[in-house]
Amino acid sequence: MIQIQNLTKSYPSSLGEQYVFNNLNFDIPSDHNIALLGKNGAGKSTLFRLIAGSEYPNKGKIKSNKTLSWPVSLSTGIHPQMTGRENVRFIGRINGVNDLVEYESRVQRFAQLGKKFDLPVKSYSSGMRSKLAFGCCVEIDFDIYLIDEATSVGDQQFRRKARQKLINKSKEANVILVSHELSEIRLFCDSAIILDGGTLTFYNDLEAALAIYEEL
Amino acid sequence: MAVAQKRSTLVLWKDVIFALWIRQLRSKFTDKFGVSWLVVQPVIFILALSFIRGRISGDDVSGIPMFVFMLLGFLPVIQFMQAWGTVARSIKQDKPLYAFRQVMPMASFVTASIIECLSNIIVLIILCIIAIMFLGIEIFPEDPIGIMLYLLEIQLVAYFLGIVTGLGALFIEEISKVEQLLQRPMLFISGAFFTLSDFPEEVWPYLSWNPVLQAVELSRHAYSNDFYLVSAISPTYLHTCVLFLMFIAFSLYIVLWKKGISR
Repeated sequence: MIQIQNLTKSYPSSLGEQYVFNNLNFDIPSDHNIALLGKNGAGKSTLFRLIAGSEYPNKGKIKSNKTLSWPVSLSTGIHPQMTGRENVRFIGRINGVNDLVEYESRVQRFAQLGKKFDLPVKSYSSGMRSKLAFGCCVEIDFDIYLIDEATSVGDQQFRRKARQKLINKSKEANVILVSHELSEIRLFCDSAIILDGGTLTFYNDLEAALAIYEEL
Repeated sequence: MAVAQKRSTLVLWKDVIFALWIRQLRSKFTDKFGVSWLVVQPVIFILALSFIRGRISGDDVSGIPMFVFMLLGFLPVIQFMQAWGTVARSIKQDKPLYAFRQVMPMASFVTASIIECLSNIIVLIILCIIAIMFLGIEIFPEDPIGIMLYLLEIQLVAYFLGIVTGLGALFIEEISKVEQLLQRPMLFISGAFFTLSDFPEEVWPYLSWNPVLQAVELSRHAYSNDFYLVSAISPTYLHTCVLFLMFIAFSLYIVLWKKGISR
């Protein structure tokens, strides 16, 4: 369970403080694979970053006894001048992976970069970078994975592979997914949270949530 | 399966700093000159400058050989400016990494400081070897521990200023421009080419507030007691200044870091 307590988050702007959340209280239940639904700019990514500890709220707390991944979007933490392998080792070290060598070879196998794995990331295409970033995340065991539209990258073959991996993950761990692709949501998630106007609502039934989401 | 271990705070910081260390080294030495540039550049500068100044005003300054005079003036001052800039920039450079909750800005600062400190020590040692082996200068300071202390204090001032301006630049972008503006005159007011006694006594009160000048003059005095220390120089002032800056830097950090990376 992820407990959100009295969460207030705002960003300064030339029009004054822009509140994303104002005194929000919410419990995100565990043992669910949750789709996070909301319009553009509703604060999905902000909520993600807050849950993951990438950003901090102005007030309030987010508590959890589970291990959470970092918010995996296209190329978080990938350094263009380091090789793919060095980047993997970096991410492994930061996250305290116990066996770096094994982790390295797992990511290498998953990301299918071939020889380019030992070349600097700046020579990669954007698809290859996201393969690497996604691989780095799913090869570490977390209780909850925070995935931000990361499976919609790469070629068909990689997409299939990434989806299969996520389906497996959604069985043994939990996934919280931000996506606008309904087919993807139906594939991984069994329930949903709708984020609208700074409030969260949990729906145990995914289809019911999607119906309401369409209305928004 | 790769398991993310639970780590104690100390082990976590060690891991993060080690990972950042490799990363920052990779991005610091990317061109063909690589690490060697770190040594070659100051050597050329110091040789050229000490030659020019030697031609103008004789081969030593109040009992200090010209090369050593530059080694304890020009070198620490450019290292000071460089360290200040690097530490200040490190927070912005690593900003995407704060997506990992394990990485905090202090880790970037600490890593950048360690890299600066080590590379400065290496450069200093190499320059001393050059001076002894090739230039035949006897480098036997009268108070070696004093020199080490004062040189370290110059570096500490740079790191603490770097934390202040680096954090500030996250909120107000223009602070990094102010930082450059402040850095520019440092070479001329910090005793890189001159000593304070080269200046008229009327300007001493204005120049001597500068902790870098204080440390440079003190380290020259520690090298040779013949080097005349004017009344405006005081070790107590320098130590107080370092402690004060440390207090300011850490207080600002504690208050601002979460806000800084949440913008």
